[in-house]
Amino acid sequence: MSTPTSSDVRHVFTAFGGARCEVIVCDGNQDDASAVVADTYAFERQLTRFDARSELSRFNAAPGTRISVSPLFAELLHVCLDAYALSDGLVNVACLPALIAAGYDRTITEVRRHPTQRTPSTPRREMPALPDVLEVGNTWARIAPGCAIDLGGVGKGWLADRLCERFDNAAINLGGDVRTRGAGPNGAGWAVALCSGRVVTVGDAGIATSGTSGRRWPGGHHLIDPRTAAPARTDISAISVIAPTALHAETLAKGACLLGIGAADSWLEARGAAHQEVVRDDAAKLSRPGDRPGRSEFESDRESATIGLRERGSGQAKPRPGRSHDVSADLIR
Amino acid sequence: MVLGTRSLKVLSGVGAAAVCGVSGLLVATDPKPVTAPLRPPVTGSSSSTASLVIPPSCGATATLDPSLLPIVQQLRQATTASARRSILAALSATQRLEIEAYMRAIARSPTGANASCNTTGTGGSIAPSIVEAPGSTQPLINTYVS
Repeated sequence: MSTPTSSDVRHVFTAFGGARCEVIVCDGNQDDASAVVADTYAFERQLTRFDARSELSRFNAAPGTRISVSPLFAELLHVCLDAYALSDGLVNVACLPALIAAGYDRTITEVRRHPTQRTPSTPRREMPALPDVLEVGNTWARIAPGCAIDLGGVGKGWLADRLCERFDNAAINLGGDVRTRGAGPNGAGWAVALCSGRVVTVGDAGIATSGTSGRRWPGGHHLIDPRTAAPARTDISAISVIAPTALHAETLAKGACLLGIGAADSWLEARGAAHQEVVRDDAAKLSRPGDRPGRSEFESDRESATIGLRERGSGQAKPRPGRSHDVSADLIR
Repeated sequence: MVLGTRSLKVLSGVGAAAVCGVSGLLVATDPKPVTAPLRPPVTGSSSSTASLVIPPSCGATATLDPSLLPIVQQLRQATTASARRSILAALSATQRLEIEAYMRAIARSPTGANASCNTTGTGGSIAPSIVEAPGSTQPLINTYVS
């Protein structure tokens, strides 16, 4: 069993709009772990969409013009374009207008407390392709008029990778986007609980979970389907993906969740996922271009069950048959 | 000598035909490239028959505050993670992030140290090892929808 030893350093903190984050360091000291926390907050301040002074907000506020950007923001925008390409356009960070239209126009705490009443009659159409609306140069970037960016999980995944790569033996969890390196506290690997509650042990890996069960509010959730520019209608309540990096895992998890159970497996395999585990939302219907979700579809009963487990390669985990979980109880913390 | 309108028209037509004919001959005999030129040119030695894939994020050159470039050099020369953290510890959080973004961008660019720019761009090529944890194992970390 892997538990932190007395010499390990562990910090638990909250960032990214109330998400639980943690850093566990086995080859560093308190100062190293504190730097991880400080850098996470600095990253959030610079790139949050909920502060008009952030670099991201200033960028979104000036569509159509070349804006001077920092090396960090430029790199992240490049990464967003890569994630778009890897996911066949399913991970499209130019989803902010659709997020706001869905009601996610303030922090998740405020939205849950006072959800915006939306009329579901507005016709929706496919979001524009990211490379068509985002230009990134050496020191500048430009977003097309009418478009805006929310880095979302792509930013968290990228940051988890960078922070963890400072160590030889550490784990970073930024709101569910996990990156691990090394053999863990006792040399037996890092024990990670996936979305179904199943525990696997990993060495160097990225693990991420996407789904519709997390940031929800009456009338919607945060997972936007770029094919409809609306909250996704998918039969996957949550999906955990293990890949070489947190960014890779995050990109694949989000894309697979949007595709639904029927297409996720082969899609993930073709894109380098090492392992995935799915929790099905029996009440949901899949998104189709042109669909317009109504309130009732998001407020339906959410009976969830572990239904899929796919593994590749040798020496990998075996499924535990018959385990069922209530995702809303297990995953939302 | 004064030429009439009709003569001028004939001469003009003959001249135009001559010019077009010569131009056509020059075009026909000019050696043509096997493929269209690449814009921008990728390398001077690229083969015209090679399959060329240009990832969307490749091509840009990362930039950084010049005052931080010596730090980048120190980080490259550091041989252990501990040594790299010691160098980063002297910087502010923003500077650490800027430097790591810069180094990542350099590593991903076609002209970077390891020329690792690829179509996925999400990094990592080593498949993670995954084993089933014993039933009594308490997870150290949870991944969840956030």
